[in-house]
Amino acid sequence: MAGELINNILSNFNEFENKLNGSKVSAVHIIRKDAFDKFKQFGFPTAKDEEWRFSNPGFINKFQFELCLSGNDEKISQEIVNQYKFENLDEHLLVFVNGFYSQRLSDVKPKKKQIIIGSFADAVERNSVDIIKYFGKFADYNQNGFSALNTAFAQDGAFILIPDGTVIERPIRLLFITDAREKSVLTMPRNLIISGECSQFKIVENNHTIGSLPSFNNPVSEIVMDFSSNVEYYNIQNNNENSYYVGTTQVSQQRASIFTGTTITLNGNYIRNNLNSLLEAEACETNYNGLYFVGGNCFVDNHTLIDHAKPNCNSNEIYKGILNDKAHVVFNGKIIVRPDAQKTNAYQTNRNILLTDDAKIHTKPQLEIFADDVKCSHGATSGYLDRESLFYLRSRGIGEEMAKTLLLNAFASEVIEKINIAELRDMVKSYIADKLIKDDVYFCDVLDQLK
Amino acid sequence: MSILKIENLKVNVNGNQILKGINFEVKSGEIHAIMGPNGSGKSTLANVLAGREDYTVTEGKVTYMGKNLFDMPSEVRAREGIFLAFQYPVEIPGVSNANFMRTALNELRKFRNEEPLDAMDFLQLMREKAKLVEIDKTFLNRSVNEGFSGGEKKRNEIFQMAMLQPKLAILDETDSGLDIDALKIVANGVNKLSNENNAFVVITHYQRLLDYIIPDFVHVLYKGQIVKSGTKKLALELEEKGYDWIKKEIDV
Ligand SMILES: Nc1ncnc2c1ncn2[C@@H]1O[C@H](COP(=O)(O)OP(=O)(O)OP(=O)(O)O)[C@@H](O)[C@H]1O
Ligand SMILES: [Mg+2]
Repeated sequence: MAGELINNILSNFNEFENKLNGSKVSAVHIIRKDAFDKFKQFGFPTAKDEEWRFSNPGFINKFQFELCLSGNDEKISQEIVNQYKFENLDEHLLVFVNGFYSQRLSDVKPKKKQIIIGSFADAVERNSVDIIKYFGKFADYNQNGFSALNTAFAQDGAFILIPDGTVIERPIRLLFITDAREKSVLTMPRNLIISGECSQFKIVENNHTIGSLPSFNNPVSEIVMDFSSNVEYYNIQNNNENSYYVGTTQVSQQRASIFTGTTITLNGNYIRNNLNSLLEAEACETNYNGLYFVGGNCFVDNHTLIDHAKPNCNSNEIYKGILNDKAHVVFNGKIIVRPDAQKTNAYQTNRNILLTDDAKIHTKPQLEIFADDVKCSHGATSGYLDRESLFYLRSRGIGEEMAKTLLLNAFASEVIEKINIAELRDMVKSYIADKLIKDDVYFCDVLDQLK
Repeated sequence: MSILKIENLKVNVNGNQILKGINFEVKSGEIHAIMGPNGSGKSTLANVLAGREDYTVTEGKVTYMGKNLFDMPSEVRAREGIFLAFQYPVEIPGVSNANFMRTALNELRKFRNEEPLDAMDFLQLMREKAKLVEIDKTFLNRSVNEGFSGGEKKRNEIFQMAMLQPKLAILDETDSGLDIDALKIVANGVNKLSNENNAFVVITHYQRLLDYIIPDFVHVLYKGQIVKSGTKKLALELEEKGYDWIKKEIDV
């Protein structure tokens, strides 16, 4: 029944406030309350909203999701976490259970004291100036019910602060485990990531649901990048068929910073990725790399926004996809070049291969250019596998399935090769090999093997 | 021994009859040349033999090594030893030549119940064959035909042929667009491979190729039929007189 989740949420918020006691009047809570008012005003979007036209989030009324107001990691064993570890990857691991940080399951390696790789709740607890300065300032909750809801209930998630001049070699991994064994849960992790001047690091986000009940993750991340910092953000999405995901990542870039966002989507029921960058100063670079390879009844919507506000910035966006079965995909890539942003270079491509007649793709580039001295281009293609190439391969004795595998792997590799973490790249390759055929003997490049 | 026997082959493309009753037989150890004006159906014949799916065989019969060719999908024909060097080889970005050939070779070995080649042996074989057709080693890391010049693409076809060691190789205008040195390299590749047990069908417009690859038979294909067959002399005659005299003979 429509509105049931909203009714529950209204009482959830009272419950939440009551347990806050003294901190009810804190700066953070003022923002939460404001966001909650906004949520009450617009609720969840529907297909009538332009930005949700092809991505009606009707699932929110279909299931009895229960919002998690507090953390409890007791029922999550180390074995469960190990299942999602990458082979041989030396990483800083932050584990969250239903959106709440678990110290027991996390594994943050020794580091300098000024470096913070920890939880959002801890930072709020100790009244971190950065939380007060940045929380809710970037991820707009005035237009989007999902972001408003997350902001209203923002309690825990990752808080990462890499100080000026610091380079972190180990990837920082955010592993979100959702426990849907006993009830259908709604989680709302809130992440704040701050890169100091000239700092450099990589973040990997994974969401995994255990149990077969429906789960709904609604995370919001704010990434605040200072002068000349370099952040790579990887979101590898390979969740189960009963998982629903609406994620928003808002990046704010200061001068000469480089942000690279890589989104790989392999499974899930409903996945909406909002990835937005605001290039607030000159000489910034923004790279968005996306790959979706989905089948079944999977729905994926990549909604991206690159907002060029200042001159001399570059953005490169490439999203590629393979759609099998009845998969339904939306790509909406918006690029704004504001009047000030002369000498902008902005490139966007979206390419799709449909493996069946039942798969559906809606691709929509949106270029809004208000400056005159700019170079912008966009291109979108959707089609079936190239028949000439297939025949060429088959005429050399390569079976039809293997020929398709080679071609699809070639198609996807353009994005996969951009993954700068070898272990992650290998894992993505093996996920993809699994999806194509079980026998991957021929799969890795022979020349790679000899290296 | 008969390798390929074509009897009264008729083929339609998009409802148009292109091949109108082809007959000929290729025996082991033989080299056949097919010549004929543009649009006469030479590539159509080559592609039908290799198993391209856009064609409809409306009549006739093709026997390859004693088996009905049309019972086999394209990849099985290749594994049984049929190789087509394409008139227009396709570019496949993202698939390296090396990976392509390794996959092809291992599919072939699997078909013959042989173990796959290990990476070292494979690389050695590939280097050896690359040398034979004088293509640079760096080609092997590059995507299949991507950005190759016309001549490089043709040499890559012969390289693939040398790797796969077919029983019946059909070369569709492999000589077109080659400079004289490249032509010799291609011819040399064919001659090295040619023996008592295999056979070649060479489609060409130019008799100069036939100075290097000496055919046992020359056929003229015109309007979907073989209208004349002869020896190498026929090719010389065509070079001299063009096709008009044959067209006149047929069209009346
Ligand atoms: N897919 C197709 N659809 C329609 N017509 C086709 C198709 N493929 C071939 N044809 C026609 O069949 C005829 C024979 O073509 P084919 O390519 O076999 O000629 P060819 O002898 O190889 O010519 P060339 O010497 O120019 O290579 C031509 O008239 C061509 O237009
Ligand atoms: Mg031709």
